[in-house]
Amino acid sequence: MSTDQFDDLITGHLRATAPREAPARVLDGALDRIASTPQGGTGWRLGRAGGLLAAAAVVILAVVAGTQLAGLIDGPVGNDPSASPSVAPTGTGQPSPSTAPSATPDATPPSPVPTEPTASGDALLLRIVTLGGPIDPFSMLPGVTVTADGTVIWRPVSTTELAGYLTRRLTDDGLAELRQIVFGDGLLDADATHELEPLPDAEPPGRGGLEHTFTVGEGADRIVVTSVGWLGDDEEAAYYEPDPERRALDELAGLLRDPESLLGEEAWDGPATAYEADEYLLVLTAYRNVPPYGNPDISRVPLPTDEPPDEFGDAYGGGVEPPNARCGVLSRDEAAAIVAALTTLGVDQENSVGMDRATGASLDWAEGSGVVDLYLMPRMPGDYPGCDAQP
Amino acid sequence: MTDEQLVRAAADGDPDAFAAITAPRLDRLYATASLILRDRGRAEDAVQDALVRAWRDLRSLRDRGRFDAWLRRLVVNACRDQSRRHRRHEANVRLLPDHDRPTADASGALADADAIERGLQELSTDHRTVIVHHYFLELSLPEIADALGIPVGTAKSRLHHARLALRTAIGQEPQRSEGNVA
Repeated sequence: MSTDQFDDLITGHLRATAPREAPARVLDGALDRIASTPQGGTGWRLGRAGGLLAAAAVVILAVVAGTQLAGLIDGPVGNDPSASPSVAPTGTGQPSPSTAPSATPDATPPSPVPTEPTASGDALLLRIVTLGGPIDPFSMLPGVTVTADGTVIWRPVSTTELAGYLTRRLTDDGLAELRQIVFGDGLLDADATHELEPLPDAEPPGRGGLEHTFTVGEGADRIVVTSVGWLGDDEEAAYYEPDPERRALDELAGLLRDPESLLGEEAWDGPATAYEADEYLLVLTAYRNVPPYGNPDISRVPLPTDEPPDEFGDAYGGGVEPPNARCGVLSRDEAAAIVAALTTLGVDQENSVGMDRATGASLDWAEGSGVVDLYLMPRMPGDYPGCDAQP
Repeated sequence: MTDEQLVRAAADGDPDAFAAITAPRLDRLYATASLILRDRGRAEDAVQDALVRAWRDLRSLRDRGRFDAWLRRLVVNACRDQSRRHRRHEANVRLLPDHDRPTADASGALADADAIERGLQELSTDHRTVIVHHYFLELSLPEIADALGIPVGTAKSRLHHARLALRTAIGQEPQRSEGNVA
């Protein structure tokens, strides 16, 4: 039987056996029950998982995002002279005063001297995290990281699977060019938030969106700029206030997803290599007393702890989301042992295991009569990502 | 009122708005739950539980445009809860050899349906959930991952294993003579 025949067979069977209509008693019964069910408050989302909250506010499909970004980068990076900074949607469609840069880009021509915080060595210069779709620990991984010495670490855009990270060093001229592209228009000079402002009376369809978090520098000088992009693409103008700054940030994030194409070969010193980190973040999400996946047992994976998976390390994301996730920082050797074990166990069926990439595995957990989802990811300069689950 | 307005009103405590926003979605949710659980009675319970939870937690839904995906995930979670409860209370059932059952044949619809049904029954709830999302709801892998709150890689893995198990069930029918049904 061919794959198509098989697929048709399954689809046809499910359609044939699915009930057409829900009995009225389902809704009636639910309405009876909610009459005595108080509504909760704002719930966990407004708790300590602030970063996840922001992510949940935008609808995204991570892979679709990569595809859509390509469509967003067909224009030049820069500012429309009419650019007006915006803040979170007010629901009125009226732009509000901004918390963004006080100087409007049109008033100040692009500076030949980038104004980003000075830093040296392997200190973080820029990190871009694009959130969307399923918010899992991997969502926190950056699309691109740049250090002050010109090292660029990025994950090539892939619409089919999680690709491994690459790293490559810029020449001095290449770094200067990148600084000009990133900082030349002043969009990352100060903390700012750029969100979608619906047009008056507009009813945007649910196309989904992206949220980019640009982090510039470290410590007290750190600047964080977030920008929401919509996946409706060409339809955006029909539903949202124009916001050239937000659009430019979307484009910048898209361009930096492929730094080799952006800068050209002469900007680089040496070839790109697979990125392997000194440290790795391990997140375990354990569920007791649930049916097994039918996959290898986690006891066959050398975890750097004698505790059960649901007691490993610290609570991830402050223990809020997901509630049973545990987290710890591993050495390179500890991570390598896990990667080797998963490879030996045959877990790596989708190129989802490796030292240079987000390694994920769904494992059975006989001792807990349940299952464990394992997330292992290389850390980037700036000790990122961390167990706090903040982008 | 738009869906978003209805969701907002429901979040503000309007049960009529809640009924208005959920009623048009009910058939699809019920069909999904029925296919996941393979039991219409338990599907009714799962959908009803999900609706009650949706009412209780609606204020936590920050992005109103996510209502559909959020509600679907609540139904899937309720199905998992139903499955766990059912598993705890149900004794293992041994399937007896059935040598009179016709051999699976791509041209034999009845044999196929029977084999597929047995294959679906033998899948874990998680695997069946992925199959239903993929074949019935026609969601892409990223959409499935989004709906279930799992990594895309996990969704892929589950779909791969579920399809393999179904293929095996169809191909080996009726040789498979015993097993546990949970």
